[in-house]
Order: sequence, then C-alpha cells, then structure tokens
Amino acid sequence: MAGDEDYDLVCMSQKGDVDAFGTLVEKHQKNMVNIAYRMLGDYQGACDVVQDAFLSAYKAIRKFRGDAMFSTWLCRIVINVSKNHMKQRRVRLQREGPSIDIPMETEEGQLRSDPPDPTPSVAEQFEKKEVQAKVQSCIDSLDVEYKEVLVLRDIQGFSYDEIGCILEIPNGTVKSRLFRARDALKDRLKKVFGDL
Amino acid sequence: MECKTIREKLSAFCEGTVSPEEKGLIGEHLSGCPSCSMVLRDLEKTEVLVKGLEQVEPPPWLKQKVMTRIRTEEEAKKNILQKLFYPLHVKIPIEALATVLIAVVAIYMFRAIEPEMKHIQSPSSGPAAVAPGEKVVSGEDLSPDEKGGLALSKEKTDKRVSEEKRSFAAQVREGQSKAEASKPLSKLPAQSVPAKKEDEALKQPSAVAPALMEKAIPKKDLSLGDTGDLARSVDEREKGLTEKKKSVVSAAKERESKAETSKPVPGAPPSAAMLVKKEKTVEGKPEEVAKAAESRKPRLSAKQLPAREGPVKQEDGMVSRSAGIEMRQESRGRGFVEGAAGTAAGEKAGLIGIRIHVMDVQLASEKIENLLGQLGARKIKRESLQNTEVISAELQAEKIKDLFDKLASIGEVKEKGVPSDIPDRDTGIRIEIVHSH
Repeated sequence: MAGDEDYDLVCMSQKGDVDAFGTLVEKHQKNMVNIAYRMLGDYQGACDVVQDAFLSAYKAIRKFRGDAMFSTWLCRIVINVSKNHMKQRRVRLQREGPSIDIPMETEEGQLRSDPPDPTPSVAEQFEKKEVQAKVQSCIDSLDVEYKEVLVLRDIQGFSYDEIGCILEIPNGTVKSRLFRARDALKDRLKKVFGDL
Repeated sequence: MECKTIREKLSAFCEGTVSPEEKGLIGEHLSGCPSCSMVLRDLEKTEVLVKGLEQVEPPPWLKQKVMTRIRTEEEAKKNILQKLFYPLHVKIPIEALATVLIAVVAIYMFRAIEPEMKHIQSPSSGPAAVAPGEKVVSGEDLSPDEKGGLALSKEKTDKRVSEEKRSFAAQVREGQSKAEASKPLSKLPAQSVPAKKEDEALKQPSAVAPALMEKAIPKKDLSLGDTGDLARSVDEREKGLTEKKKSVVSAAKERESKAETSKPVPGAPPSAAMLVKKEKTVEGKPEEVAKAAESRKPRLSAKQLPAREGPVKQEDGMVSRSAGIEMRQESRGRGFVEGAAGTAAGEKAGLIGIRIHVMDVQLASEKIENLLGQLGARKIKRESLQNTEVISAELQAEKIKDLFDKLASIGEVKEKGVPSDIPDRDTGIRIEIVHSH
C-alpha cells in the first residue's frame, strides 16, 4: 500500500476522518460511475450503485489492509455492487414485468432507454451518440463475466494483473475471457451495424 | 496453422501479446487467408468502437450525497455506541465503577430500609401479647400485621413491647377506675369471647391477646392462673421472639396440652387463641388454677425480677394489679373488709390503715393485740399516743378478712389508708384505736 497514492487519505479515513474519505470519493467517483454505467447500461442505476459502493467502502475501510491499490479495491466493490444490482433488476423484471425505465431486450441486444449524456447535439454529434448507444447495447447484451473483463480492460484500461486482482481470477482466465468477450462483441456489433 | 487456431489468437495478436514466433506464423497465414484477414479487421474496428466510447460525467450531487449518507451513518453510530462507550479506556472503567457503586448503594439502602418497611407493614393496633412465647419462623401463614410485628429486630420489638405494656397498663388503670365507678366491665358476660372466635384469634393473635386480657378482667372465676399465663406471654414476648404462626400453633398446642392435663378436651382443634380456651379450662378447675397461680407467683412479683427487665417488671406489676382488680370485682358485694383487703396490697410503702372507734381504748387495744397474735401476725408493736393507741403489725393477706370481721365486733371500723395494690404475702397493718364520743 506504500506505493498507493491514496495511502495517506486511506490512513486518515481509517482513523475516522470523513473529509479525507470525501477526497477519495471526489477523486474516484468518475471512474466508478463509468464502470457501473458500462456494466449496467443505466446512468441513474450507476449513480445509485456508486453511492452504495462508496458507503460500503467507508464502512469497510478499517478492514482494508493495503494488499492492493485502493482504486483496485474500490473497483471490486463497485463491480460486486453492480452485479447485485443487476440481479435485483432481473428478479424485479420477472415479478413485475418490463418497466419503461429499464433497457428493453431486443434481437439486436438491449436498447438504450436513457441516453447517458444528453448534450446539445448537432447532426454529427447525434450520429456519434447513436453509435455509442448501439455499442453500449451490445456490451449490455454480453454475459456478465465477459462484460466485466471487457469494461475493465478495454474501457478502463486496467492491466491483466489488476483485473485478476479485482475479479479475483487468474491472469490466464482474464485473457481467455477477454478474447472471447471481444469476439462475442464483434459478432454483436456486426449484427447491429451490418458491415463494420 | 489452421484458421480456427489463428482466429483464437487474433485478439492477442491485435494487442501484441503473442510471441514473435506466433506473430510470424499468424502474419504468414493472414497474407494468404482473406477470411481471417477480415476477422482481424473486424476485431480492430470493435476495439476502436469500444475504446471510442465517451466517458460519462458523474452527477455533481454524487459526492455530496455520498458524504451525507456517510455522515448520517457516522452520527447514528456515535449516538448509540460512542456516547456510551467511547473512548473505551475512559468510559468502560467509569461505567463499571458506577455499576458497582449503584449496586452497593442499593444493597445498603435495602438493608437500611428493610426494618422500617417491616415496621410499616406491622400492625397499627397490634400489641401482640399472645405471640411472645411462641416461635414464629415463616411469614406464609401469618397475617401481614403479625409478619411485620414479629419480624422486627430485637431492639425494636423490645421498644414496642414496652410501649405496648405502658399503654396497656394505662388502659388497665382506666378500666379499674371505671369498674369502681360503675362496674361496666362486670356487665360483660363471662363467656365474652366465644369459642367460635378462635379462628379470628388465630388470624390475628397479636390483636386478640390484649382484648382477651381486658375481657378476662371482669370474669368472676378468672384467677391468677390466667394472669400467670398472660404474664408468661408478655414475658416471652419480651424476649423479642420473631417467629411464625406455625410455631405459634405448635406452642399453642403445647399450652393446650398443658391445659388438658387438668381438663382434657378430646378432639379439640389446636388453636392460637389459647387464652380463650385456657379461660374455659381454668373456670372448670379453680383449685388447679390456684396451684398454677402459686407456681407462678415469682413471675407476678415485680420486685423479684431483675432490674434490667424493666418492661417485664412493669408488665408483671400490671398483671398483678389486674388480679387485684379481679379480686375487688368478685368481692364487691362482700363488704368493706374484703374490699379493703383487695385494694390494700402491692407497694411496700402501702399499709392498711384502719381506725376503730371504741368505748374503752385500753381494753380494745389489748383485745386487738391478742387478736393479731391469734391470727399469726408478726412484728406487733403498740404505741400510745394522746387518747389513741396505735398497733402496727404484719399479717398474712388471707387473714386480713378475719381481722376485719373480728375488729367489727370490737368497735366501729373505718378505713383510713388503703394502698392501691395487694401483695399476697405479709401485709403491714396499722390500727388506730380511738375513743368514740
């Protein structure tokens, strides 16, 4: 943990310094929201997940021994909370039926119901957004184990070691899952876009 | 290499994580296989699309919301735990000490209040002359009054007993004066305490006893045997016994069995109200009662008791006085002589003063002197005053009646000084013989 740039803030947080933890929140919230968003495909859901993840992290910060980087440890929490959130959403869907707030499952994968960043757009920007929405819908349609490695490697840029640490799986498994995930995503994108 | 094997490694080839050997083999294959080259191109486009995804910005309120939730949790935690226990090294010893202190104070207060509480529970009108001799052990069968009264500490019991005795003595004196005035007590029926009240008496023996004593006073045939019982009860009570009804009953049985030796009552239920029963038994056997009275004489003598047993002494004196009252009551109709005898007893300083008016003082004096000698009087002294002869002597109490009878034949007898009590041993007599005009 000595090489962790968050070391001091983590130590202060462990002593009950809420403001220090606030600094950590501010520093990591963007990455965590993006991970959650790519995992869920739901911006509001991602924000809820990140809040819960930070609260869990604060409660458990005294148990953080520094075996890994704080960011890695925080990512693991966000991924786990996201998975739980997805499970709950699936159960809720089975009980109550589909909601207009939840992305619909289609033949081409899940369709976005909630654009993530509705900035004022011109025609080009609109087209770009649409492409990104389709890519996200393809990611959403992947299995969770493919999705998580893809998000962590190709979107967030974690190393194989870090991904292995976050997901608590060996490096070889990370690689094999990642290659399969890319292959699956390529097939989905070809279906959505036709010729890539 | 086959296309399938090549396609499995294309992703790693794109990343550049394959060995140089594999890189060369894959490159050779791709140059000769358009389909695998197409797959590689699609993979590269996919990677571009994924990496081209824009990052979303977190909402501005996210941090604030997270921190609000964290602070709320922290406050709740502080409210419950920290206020109670933190810092542990300071608060836990203080709390432990406070707990021990509270426990000690509670125990101390309980012990301090316990006798007071029992005193509060004790009877307000329970002189409890009965219970004395009996040993009470548990409060289950006792009335709350009895429980409280009997559970008192010895000191308190002694105090209470002495108070009760004083008040009772006052009552007796009051009753005595009333009896002399209008004989209200003699109007009470002899069977003033019916046997069916035994149960009530059993329930509240402490309250019944004094009542029994008072009611027993005017009884014709109640003699020293009863008063001896009462005296014994008081005496035993004075010992500060704190016991229960079981023992009361057992002691009552014991007394009952004693009574049954003189007059057996077959099938009679054991009762704590033995005074009632005792009365009946005594009535039937006056001669035994007299014997009992004789055997208990020492108890009745206040002077013979040790000085430290003040309350008992007083009680015994009281009982003796009650006996005197009885004698007076039963002999009320027999004339002055007995009345004088009945009242001329008790205190050492009290002499029976008699004035007799005769025609011939000297002759009468000789006759009286002889009479006293015949009656067995001791310490006969004769003094001559102006126109008066004074003879003083000590005479047995039972002979006083005879003396008065015979004095009546000698001259006109008048009472001069009568003490308020009667002793049942030698009594001092002072006879003034004066000339009648």
